[in-house]
Amino acid sequence: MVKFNTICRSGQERSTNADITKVYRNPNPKVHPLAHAREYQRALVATKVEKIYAQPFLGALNGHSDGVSCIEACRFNLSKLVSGSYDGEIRIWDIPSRRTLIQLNAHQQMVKGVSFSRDGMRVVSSGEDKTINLYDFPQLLEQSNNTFQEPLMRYLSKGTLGNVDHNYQLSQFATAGQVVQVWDYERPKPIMKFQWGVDSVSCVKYSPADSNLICGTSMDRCVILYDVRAESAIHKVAMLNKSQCLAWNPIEPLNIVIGNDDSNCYTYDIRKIEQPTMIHKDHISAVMSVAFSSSGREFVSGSFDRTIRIFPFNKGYSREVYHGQRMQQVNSVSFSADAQFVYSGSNDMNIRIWKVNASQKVGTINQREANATNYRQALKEKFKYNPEIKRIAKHRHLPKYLMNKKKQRQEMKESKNRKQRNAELNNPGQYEAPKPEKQQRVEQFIQ
Amino acid sequence: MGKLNKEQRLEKQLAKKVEKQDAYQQVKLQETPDDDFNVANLIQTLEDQGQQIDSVKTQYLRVHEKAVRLINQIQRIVQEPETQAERDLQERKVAATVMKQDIKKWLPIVKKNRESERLDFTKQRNVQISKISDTSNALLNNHLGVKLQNAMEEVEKVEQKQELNGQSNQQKGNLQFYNDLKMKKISSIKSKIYKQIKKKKGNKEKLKLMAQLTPAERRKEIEKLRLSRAKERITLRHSTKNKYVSQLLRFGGDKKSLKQQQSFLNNLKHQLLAKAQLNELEDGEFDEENFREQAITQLEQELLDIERREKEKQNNFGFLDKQKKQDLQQSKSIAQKLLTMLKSGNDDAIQLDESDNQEQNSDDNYEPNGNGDKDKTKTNVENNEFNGRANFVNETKQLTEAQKKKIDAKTSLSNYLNLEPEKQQQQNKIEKQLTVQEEKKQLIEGLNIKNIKQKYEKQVNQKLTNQDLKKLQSDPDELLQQNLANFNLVLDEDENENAFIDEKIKDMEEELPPEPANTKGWGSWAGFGIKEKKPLTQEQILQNKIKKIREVQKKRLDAKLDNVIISEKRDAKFAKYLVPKLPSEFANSQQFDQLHTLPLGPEWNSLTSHSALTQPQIITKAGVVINPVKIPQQINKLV
Repeated sequence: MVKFNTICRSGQERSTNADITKVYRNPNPKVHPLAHAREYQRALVATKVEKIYAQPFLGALNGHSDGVSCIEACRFNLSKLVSGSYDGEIRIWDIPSRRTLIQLNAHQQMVKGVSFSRDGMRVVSSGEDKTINLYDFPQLLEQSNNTFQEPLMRYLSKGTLGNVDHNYQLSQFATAGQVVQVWDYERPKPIMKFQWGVDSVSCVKYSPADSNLICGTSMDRCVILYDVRAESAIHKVAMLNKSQCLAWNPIEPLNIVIGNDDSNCYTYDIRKIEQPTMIHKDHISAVMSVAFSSSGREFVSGSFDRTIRIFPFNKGYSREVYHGQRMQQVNSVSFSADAQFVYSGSNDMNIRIWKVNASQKVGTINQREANATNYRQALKEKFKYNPEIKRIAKHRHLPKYLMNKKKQRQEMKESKNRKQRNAELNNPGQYEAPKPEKQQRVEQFIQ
Repeated sequence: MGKLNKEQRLEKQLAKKVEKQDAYQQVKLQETPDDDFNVANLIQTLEDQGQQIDSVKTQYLRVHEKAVRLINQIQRIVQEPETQAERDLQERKVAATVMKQDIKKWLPIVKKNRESERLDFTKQRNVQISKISDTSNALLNNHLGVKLQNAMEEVEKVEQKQELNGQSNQQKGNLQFYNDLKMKKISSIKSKIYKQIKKKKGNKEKLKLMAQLTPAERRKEIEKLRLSRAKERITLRHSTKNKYVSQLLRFGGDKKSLKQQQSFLNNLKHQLLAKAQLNELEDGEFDEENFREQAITQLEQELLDIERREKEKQNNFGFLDKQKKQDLQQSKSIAQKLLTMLKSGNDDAIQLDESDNQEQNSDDNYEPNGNGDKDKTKTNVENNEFNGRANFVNETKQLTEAQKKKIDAKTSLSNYLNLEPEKQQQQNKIEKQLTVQEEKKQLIEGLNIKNIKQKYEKQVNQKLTNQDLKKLQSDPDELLQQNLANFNLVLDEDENENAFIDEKIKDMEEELPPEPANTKGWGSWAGFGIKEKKPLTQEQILQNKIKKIREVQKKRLDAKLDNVIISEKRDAKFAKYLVPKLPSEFANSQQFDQLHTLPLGPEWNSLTSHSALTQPQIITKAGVVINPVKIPQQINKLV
């Protein structure tokens, strides 16, 4: 802003009072003088409106008589979901009507993992009782009242079992446990076994794009990569804490996300597994389950801190956090195949359905409405760096225990940094520059 | 000796491995010299043959023996089976290389997804609106990568073609639909001829009805029609610029209008005045009575004319008739006044006339307009300004009788005028001042104050104080007054300049950081033996302040600009549109500003570009299952 105090008048004299000197401006509508201000106001309103209409919780599926240990949404049919609980019960749900289609007393002990085949015709489950059950879905539907249906095939494992994951292309599935085993429908014994080290593997997942690659997380804090064609694993990386779960990016089959017990998620590139490419922070307790959206642009994580968070695949912090008063520790999460909904199974025996975008309208949206929402989203994206809009968009109401823990963590982090800084200042030359955090989290890379 | 060194090194290296060997291997190693027949035989034969063998030779041979032994050891190690761990390591290495090679096929797809503006998952395959920059493609070094990319491009082309075909079909369909709609609309519209015929029919029916009516009723009906038509013509709905309508509106429908009449009267006055002036200048005889008679006859004719027109039929329009009446009355009153003036020749009549006309002509006193009809009224032409001079002239000149008469009339009039309009004089004064100011402005125009000051000081040849100026102001000299006026203006400007400087200093003072409250004991050490600080005197404080202000002045943008204050304050109202820090995604502020140059709204963009600008980056649709990424079949064949 420049202020001019003129001493000399200009040569032009006003002949009448009405002869006001004109102020010229660019008539081009694109350089409208108030365009920016108006769009800012609209963006502000859009962020506030989004807050007002944010209602992410759609409903709960209740029926299990014990905590839900594992869930998976069908990869073919949008309305089907399979869940297993701590008492060995398996339920298959119809989501639109929110009722149980099939109820099975499948295992003697806790159900460790459930998985749908790619075409939605087969369901596999693994239990703590060292058995793997393979069910035929149409057959189950036929006798939906019979809770003691015999599976199509029952496989017996020598060692304890972890979760089970069905191959995306072939009629095979892999199980975690003391030994990582690959099973075929037709064979009673595993067609492949992988063992590396002493401790067991807690979770394995097939690559959705490549039928040969399996990734697993082991109890000895390692992330291991297997190739079914080879006789042994490919390589592994040992971290500081144990990892419970992992998920493959279905659109970028080079990247995996791991949920760790240190309350962070880590993205790894399997070409360079020596260190993670990104750390996703926000949870305050161990991450129990992660699942990738089928669009590959975001993933959901369920944690022991009783919250669900949605992270963008390339951002360090979460976009959204969902929690409920009655929701307990989240054991398992899953994305719907059309990337619109998130399902969470928790210790409180319920399966909850959440919207991915909290303020999005469910149901048919006409073109005008869609255009308006698009415009609002674009405005929000444009003004996302603006402090006021950023503050409103970022704010989430959190329960007290979370807020306190978050504060405490922040204080701990600050004091640690302060200590480090003071030590360096008082003993110059004795300390090396600290390693980047990504390197710090990895203990060892083993080829 | 080089050979020897090499051998020694080998020895050392292998020694470690040898240690690891089992006992039976060591035993075997001990037995090895016995197996070495060739060398032993050689030695034996040599011993047998000659006694000429030197001690050097024997040494060399021993070394050779050792070397041979080592070579054998190495051969054995190679032939032995590997350990499980070693074998696993080998296996893993191979698997890793194979996996890495295998994964490369995803790279172009991943790269494309990352670089694309938006991902549309609502279609069958996740095809993107891509913009790959091929220049920095490290994949091009790879044979497989090149092949893959070429194949991908081909696939895309085919898909685009298909899409285009689909689009064109859709467009055709749309066009046809709109055409149908248009035809429907057209069919519902009636033609002009149809409407004309309908109108004619309606008119005929009306005429029939009219024929049945009585003449009085018919006249009423016709008048109604006329009125409605006239209203239609005059009202803004059909804002006609017809001559007829415009004349109707201006003069009330008559050809010889009242305004024209008034202008005629004015002309007459002018003529009279001009003649009077001529007479006065020439001092010749003026045929006064003849002139008066002529004027009276003309005016009487005018009056008659006015009366006749008053008796004329009215126009039927209320508003026009009113206006016409007013105008007629005005002109009538003017004419009557003039007549009475001319007939009587009394001062009273003239006074009346003057008082009427002064109000009208107070604006243009300078112009010699015809306010009076006769030579007596001519005095009105001369302004109040010139009264003094006129009196002076009158006093000095020797006068004839006729002239005396005129002067008497003049003086009487002027006296009257001087008594009455004090307001007018005030107005004139203001006007004078205005004109003077304008002159000043012209003088100052485009010049700096300092220059003007210097100029005037040069003219006066001395430096003037304010007291001197006050004395000068009372001086009656005109030229001096003029100069003074200009100088005053300069002085005023000088004050303005000072005010400007004060303002600038004030501005700088505001920039100074607030001084801490001067409380005793705070911020200083306490205890025995510590000297008390003396508080600063006011002069010191002032000097400190001046120092600080100078420091501030150096930093300011307008430090070297005397006549400008540049305010560097941040506008709090505008701050909400700004970002406190450059976000890490952007390299510089220009990049960030680029984000805000283009508005997205439909008010500033065409509808197509608006929708293109606001499309989300990831398009998903409820109910559409998104499959994991898959390499197209054409490419799979290549792989």
